[in-house]
Amino acid sequence: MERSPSTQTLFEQIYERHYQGIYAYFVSRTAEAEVAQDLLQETFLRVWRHRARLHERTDEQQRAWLFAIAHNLLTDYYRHRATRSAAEDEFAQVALASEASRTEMEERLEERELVALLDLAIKRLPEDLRTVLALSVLAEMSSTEISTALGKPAGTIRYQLARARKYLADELQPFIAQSARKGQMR
Amino acid sequence: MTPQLPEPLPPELEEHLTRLLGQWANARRLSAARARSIREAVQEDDVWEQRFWTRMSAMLTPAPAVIEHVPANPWSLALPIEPDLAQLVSQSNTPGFCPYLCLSA
Repeated sequence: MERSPSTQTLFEQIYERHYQGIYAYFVSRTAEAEVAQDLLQETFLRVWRHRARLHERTDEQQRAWLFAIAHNLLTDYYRHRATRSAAEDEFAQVALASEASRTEMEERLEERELVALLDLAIKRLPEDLRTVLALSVLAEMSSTEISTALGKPAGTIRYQLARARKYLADELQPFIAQSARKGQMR
Repeated sequence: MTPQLPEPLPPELEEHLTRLLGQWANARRLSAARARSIREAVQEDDVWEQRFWTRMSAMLTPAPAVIEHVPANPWSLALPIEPDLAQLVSQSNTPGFCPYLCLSA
């Protein structure tokens, strides 16, 4: 296969532009950073093997193509796992642990705990909302970009984002209030 | 039809939530160093694969039919046969026998 410098450069540009989005997608769907990194690598390995065709695609087409590859890999990943419910069980167990230790968490609002708390709250979001939120917050993608990536109307994405934020605000309100009070005291 | 957006959050709550999500994102984003190593692994994997297929195709290419430089003492070469068998064959003085086994003299 031809490897002209321009093709390699183009691949690296595409990687830089999209790796955070693809990673966020996998994190939102697997809840495991290591699995997400493996799937990210596999996604771009497929892109690399077809890099000669990168020139043929527009930015939007590249994004849609990348997320289609990611979606297929995710499907394969879950097919290879015993059942999809195994992953959902993990989320549920984490959520239960969260309930049990909520009082304790209220007393500790340092950054690491806040991040862990947000992890739990985000994991409890419905999958669609979790994905949209991760793409928006982790990958800093716009509603239009997420719309292209997931093949959904931009209006639906905006609605899902607003719902996700509302859900999180309700869930985290006591902690946010406490955090705000601490912030004022500093 | 897109459903109506939920009621906007109070500005103060919105601001705190945005700040918390920002902290979360900073902690959970893939680091630039890890991202670079993944990209390099992708490109290395391909290099490894190319080397592998180059070697495989070299191995699968048929050997040339003529050997131009036959050493004076071919038995000095390591042959893939047992030493006893090699000795037996060398003593047989078989006309036309070539120690390269796969070739006729």
